[in-house]
Amino acid sequence: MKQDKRGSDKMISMYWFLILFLVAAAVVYMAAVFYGKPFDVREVEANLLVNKIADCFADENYFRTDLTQDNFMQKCHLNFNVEDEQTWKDDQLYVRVDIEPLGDIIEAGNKEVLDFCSAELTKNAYCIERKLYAIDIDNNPYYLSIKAGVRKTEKNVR
Amino acid sequence: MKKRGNLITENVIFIILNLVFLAIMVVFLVTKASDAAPMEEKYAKEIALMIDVAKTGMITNFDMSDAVNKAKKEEFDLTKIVTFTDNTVLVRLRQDGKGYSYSFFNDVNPSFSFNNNGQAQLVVNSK
Repeated sequence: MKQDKRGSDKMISMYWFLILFLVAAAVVYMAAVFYGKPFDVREVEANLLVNKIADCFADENYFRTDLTQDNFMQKCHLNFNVEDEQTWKDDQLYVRVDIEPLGDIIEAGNKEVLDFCSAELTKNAYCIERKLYAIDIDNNPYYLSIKAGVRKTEKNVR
Repeated sequence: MKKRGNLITENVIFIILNLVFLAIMVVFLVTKASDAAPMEEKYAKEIALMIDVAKTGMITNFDMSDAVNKAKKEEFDLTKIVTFTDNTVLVRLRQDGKGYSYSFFNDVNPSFSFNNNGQAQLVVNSK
């Protein structure tokens, strides 16, 4: 009888350490998943890009008519060069501004970024579209549609 | 008496082993949390976004004391923690790592400095 009791105590200890081992494995796995994933900042980045372009077009509250395809990047203080990462060739960002009723289109960056926009954020570029009305200094109305896409998948998703 | 002594010893060993296990878990999590690599990534992305949102002439002050303490522990030159090349920010906190870089789209000329308490100051100047 005594032998059996001692035996059962050892069995409990064995199971206890098995539970501890499972807990340790779960903690290590969760830590690896949590710290192994990069911070995904593409949504914030795309929003900031659209805001910056909107601010640039509506300078001092009036629509700017001096922005063209040629001077857009320079006058809006934009630079789409990116760091050397895998096969990146300064092709991770894209913006397109449609201006009505002029029918003008101003775009910059890699157009293909928009082709990979999808509801599944994790593996594709993050894209955003924002529309706004503006008037110029002579009270003429303009309707702007700003589309922006941020890829940078390798640095934001795993 | 001997049996009672054995029982106490067994229980004490059991409790000590459990405490050792708990301590190992805590040390593992603390080490993981204060690892340099995620800290480099976090600050590189934060600084890039701060530059993206900033207008020229803007000064941003923020706390980077944990990164400074990490760099001090790694005996890394504090003036090289945050560096800018073209429109890319590189954050490095250790000698043996290559750091983490992230690009910003705002075409500006940023500069960066620390004070002794690890308070950072980011100044965004026009190009």
